Amino acid sequence: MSATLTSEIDRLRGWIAEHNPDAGPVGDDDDLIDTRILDSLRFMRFIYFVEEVFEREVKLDESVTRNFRTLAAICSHFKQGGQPPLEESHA
Amino acid sequence: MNLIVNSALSERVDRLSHKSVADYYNPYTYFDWPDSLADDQLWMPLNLLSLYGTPEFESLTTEQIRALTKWESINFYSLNVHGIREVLQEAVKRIHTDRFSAVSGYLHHFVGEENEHMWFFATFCLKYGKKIYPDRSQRMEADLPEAIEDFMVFARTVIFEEIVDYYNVRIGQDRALHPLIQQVNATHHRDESRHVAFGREIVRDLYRRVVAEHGNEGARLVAVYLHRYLGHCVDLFYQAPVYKDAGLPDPFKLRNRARSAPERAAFHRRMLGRTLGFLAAEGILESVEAL
Repeated sequence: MSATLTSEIDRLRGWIAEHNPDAGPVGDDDDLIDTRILDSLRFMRFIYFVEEVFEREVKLDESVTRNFRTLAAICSHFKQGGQPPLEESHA
Repeated sequence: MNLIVNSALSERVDRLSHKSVADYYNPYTYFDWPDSLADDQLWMPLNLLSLYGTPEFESLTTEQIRALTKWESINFYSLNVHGIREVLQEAVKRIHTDRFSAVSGYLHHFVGEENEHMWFFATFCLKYGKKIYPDRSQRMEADLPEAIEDFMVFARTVIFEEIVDYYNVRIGQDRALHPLIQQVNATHHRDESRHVAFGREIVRDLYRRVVAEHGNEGARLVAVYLHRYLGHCVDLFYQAPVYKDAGLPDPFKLRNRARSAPERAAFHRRMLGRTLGFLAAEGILESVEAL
């Protein structure tokens, strides 16, 4: 995980701690959905925060629950480029 | 077995069917669609904008405000397209099943009218915005018992319809807006008044079934789901791609800041006022935290 992404993932971890304090420490490979760290409403709000952190739009298709299921998967998704920047995705 | 046994519901729904026939119009010939709508005009009232009342709104230029009214309009009509698609899928799944036989006659009108609404909203988006914004709804609830699923389908529908109607009434009555914009919204409002009446009737009936089959735990569960859904509906009006299209800087940060801005809470209450009043009066959702 690059230094930059580490800082961004730490921001995501901070968001989870703030919005679901009962979740306790969240590991990179913890499944955010199966463990109920994020329920359906929190998941969407989490995605909005992911978009703010990475300044990228997250396309809500069937891949979203696969690519955004763990902090490590999110990191890997954006290391590989993630979605195109907003201006390109809406060209 | 027909699980909807309330004969008063059947009678009221029959009256709505007659009204649908009497009020019928051909949407494909009803509107005069100009080739374009000018960008240098307002497309919706300012007080319906998602940034209205926030410090960010005060710093917008006239050009940015006009652009924001355009792209928030396209977002609003896009939300209608996606919301209607879900409604149609769920209504079609239930029409002429044993459970919904008492209202299947009216569901034909409902499905037909919703299909036509979807057409004119999609036409508006594609003709004047050249796109429909992507669907941002995401459902992750596990499979629900049938009575709760049926209730949630129609409760979501009537909540969404009442929120949309809040906008339709105000846009449809704003004489400063282009006549087509007024007409699309006023027409939708007229049709939706029947759909809301139907939605409230069937939600009352289906809620009784939830309580009869699942007791207090069922009632608690639907209250949790409805609360989440109301928050989700508010979320949909705050969208980074809309701010980006309107030329506003830092659209993702702006989205989250505006969504949680304290100045917006009173508007959310007003927008949801009628639907929250109905849910409270029926004892379905009696108190709601900040949305």
